[in-house]
Amino acid sequence: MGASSALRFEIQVAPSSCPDDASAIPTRGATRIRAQDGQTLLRALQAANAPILSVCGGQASCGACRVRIETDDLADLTPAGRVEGALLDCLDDPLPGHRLACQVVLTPALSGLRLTLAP
Amino acid sequence: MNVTMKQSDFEAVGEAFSLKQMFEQRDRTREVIGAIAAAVKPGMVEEDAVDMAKGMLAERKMLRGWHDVYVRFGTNTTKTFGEASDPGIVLGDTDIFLIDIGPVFEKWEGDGGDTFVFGDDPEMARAAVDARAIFHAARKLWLKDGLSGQALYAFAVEEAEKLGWALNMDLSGHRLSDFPHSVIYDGPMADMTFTPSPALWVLEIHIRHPTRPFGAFFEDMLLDDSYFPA
Repeated sequence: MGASSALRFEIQVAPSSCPDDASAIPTRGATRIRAQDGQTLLRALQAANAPILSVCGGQASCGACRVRIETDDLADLTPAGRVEGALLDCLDDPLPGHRLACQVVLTPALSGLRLTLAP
Repeated sequence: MNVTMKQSDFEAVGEAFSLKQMFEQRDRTREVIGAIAAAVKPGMVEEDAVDMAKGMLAERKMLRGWHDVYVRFGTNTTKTFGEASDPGIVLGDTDIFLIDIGPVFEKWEGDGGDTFVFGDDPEMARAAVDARAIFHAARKLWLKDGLSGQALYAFAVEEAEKLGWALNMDLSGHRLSDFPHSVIYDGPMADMTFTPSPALWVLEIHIRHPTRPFGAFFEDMLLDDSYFPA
């Protein structure tokens, strides 16, 4: 069975000149979140009250903010850095689409990014 | 602090909690601190020491941590928890460094910190000794008199001042549990008005020199004397 729509998100990234608005808009397939240019994915999800945990404060240490990026969207992201990659490799049940939300910096080019919170 | 919470709420544990596992993780944490300390040498750059420490944690399947890995050299030993180190600090022949790690092994959190000295600077040596001494003095009073978290840290502040140090109250104790303790209580032990129970809390002591740019750190679980062999 697929992930509940409550755990699936689509990110819309506004240019930095636009006013801050972290509203979450439920849609049939996924909850659409408006985020700001330069915000981390973790901050955007937290601002929209998504049920995501961060224990280490965005240091790529705890792995609690691991998300699964839709396969088709993965290529749009800057690849995981050395620290993030090392942590992802040591977490349980690693999958190719996994990223740490605290390490993904959003830009308007990433608008439409789709992800699931459930690992 | 949520004033409606009771001691049992602050001291709740998760489904995976096991005292046996917590003590084993404590042992693993102390072991790797010793191994990291033994591998740190004068001339190393702090960032390389952090990378080395992460490698050693990864070898032990403890790269995942509930907080970041800190190996701080020289002037960076004054930095508070979570504060970024000044970059490029090289450990001198006469110098001080601290280690602060919070590794998670499978489902259980560890937490440990200690300070080490190279060379013959007597004040640096005394800082490392005193951080540990204040930890044990406070811990022993907790054992003897059942001090609350608040009283325990009030004592630690006085004890540090008596010895000529300033205690950094940004690091004033916290819960430890099965991962993650932060969903139970993420605040300081120094706010607690009750006597903290053994094996559920970490007592942390971070002192700073009053005039020179260095500090020292020691932390471990709050436990009775039998867990601290002489």
